[in-house]
Amino acid sequence: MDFTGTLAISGSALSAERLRLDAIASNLANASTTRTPEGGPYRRRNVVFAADPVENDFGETLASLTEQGAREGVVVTDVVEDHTPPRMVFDPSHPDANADGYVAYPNVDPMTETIDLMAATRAYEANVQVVNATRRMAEAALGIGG
Amino acid sequence: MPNVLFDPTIEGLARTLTLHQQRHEVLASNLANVETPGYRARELDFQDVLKEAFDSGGGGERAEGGASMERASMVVEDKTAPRRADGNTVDMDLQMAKLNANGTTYLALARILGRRVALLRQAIEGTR
Amino acid sequence: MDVTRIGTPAAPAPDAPAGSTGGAPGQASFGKVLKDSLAQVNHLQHEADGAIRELASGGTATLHDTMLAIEKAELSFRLMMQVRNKIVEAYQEVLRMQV
Repeated sequence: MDFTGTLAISGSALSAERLRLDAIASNLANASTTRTPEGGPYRRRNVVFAADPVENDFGETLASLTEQGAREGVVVTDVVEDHTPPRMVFDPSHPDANADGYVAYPNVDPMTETIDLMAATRAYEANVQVVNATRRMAEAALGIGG
Repeated sequence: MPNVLFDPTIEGLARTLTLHQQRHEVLASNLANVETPGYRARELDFQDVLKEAFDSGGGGERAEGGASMERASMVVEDKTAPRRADGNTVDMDLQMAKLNANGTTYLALARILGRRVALLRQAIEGTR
Repeated sequence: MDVTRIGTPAAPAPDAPAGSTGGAPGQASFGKVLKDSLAQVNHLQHEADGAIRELASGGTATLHDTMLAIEKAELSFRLMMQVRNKIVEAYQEVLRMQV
C-alpha cells in the first residue's frame, strides 16, 4: 500500500470538481440565452456526484472486502438539465417573445451559481491540500533510509 | 548469532506508521466526497490496534493481505457528524483538521524511525 | 535499544587467537559467526527484494516497510563486512605472533 491509491482518490475529486466548475461556468455564461438549437431557452446544467471505489493496480475493487472498507474517490455519473420552469419576463418587443409577449429566460440564478462556485472551489482547494500532504508523507517515508 | 537488526521499537514504529497511513486514506476519501449526496463521513477506529502496535507480533499485522483486512474492520461510520439536506455528513473543516493532525503525527513518526535506523547504522559501523 | 547485542559478533575475535593456532575450535567459532552473518544477509536481502517487488508492482507493501526492509538488508551486509574485517584482523594478528 503505497500512496498512489490516496493520490487517485484526491485526483478523482479534482476531476469531479473541475467538471462541476465547467457546468457552473456554462450556466453563468448562458444566463441570458433565450434561444438554443434544441429550441427554447438555455436550461441550467447540474452535475451528479457519486462515491467511486478506487481500484488497486491489479484491477480488483477493494469494495469486495467490506462495504465501508473500500477507499472511495468520487465520480461525476451524469450531467443533467435542471427542469425548473424558465423565468418568464414580459417583453413583447423581444424577438423571442411568445404570443402573449413573454420571453422565456433560462432558469439560472446567478446567486445560486455563485454559491455553488464557492463550494466547488473550496472542495477543489481542500483536495489540493490533501495531495500536498500525501506527497509530504511519501517523501518522509522515502527518507527513512537516510 | 542473535538477530541484532531486530529492534522492537523499530517494528512498533513501522506498524504505527501503517495505521496512520490507513487513516490518511480514509480522511482523503471523506474530503474527496465532501459534495457527494448521501455520503457518510468515515473514520478509522484504530485506538485498540494502536495500543498493541509495540507488542511483539501484535496489532495490525503488516502482512500482504493482512493489512487490507485489518483496515476493513477498522473503518467505521462517523456517527457524530451532523447530516446536511442531501444526506452528506462530511464537515470539511473538521476533516481537514484531522488530516493535518494525522499527517503531522505520521511525519514525526517517520523522522523518529529514520533516526533510530541511523543509530543502528552508527552502532554497526561507527559512522552515520 | 540494546546496543550490547551489536557488540556480540565481534566479541569472539579477540578471544580465539589465545585458544587456537589454526586449530579446529577457533576456526569453528569464526566460521560459524561468519556463516550466521551470511545467512542473515541472504535472508534480509530476499525480504528486501520481495518488498521492492511488491511496491513496484502496486501491491500492498507500504512505503516505510519497503524502505525499512532495504535498510535492514544493507545494514546486515555492513555488519557482515565488519565481522569479516574483524576476523581477518584477528587472523593477521595470529600470523604476526612470534612463536
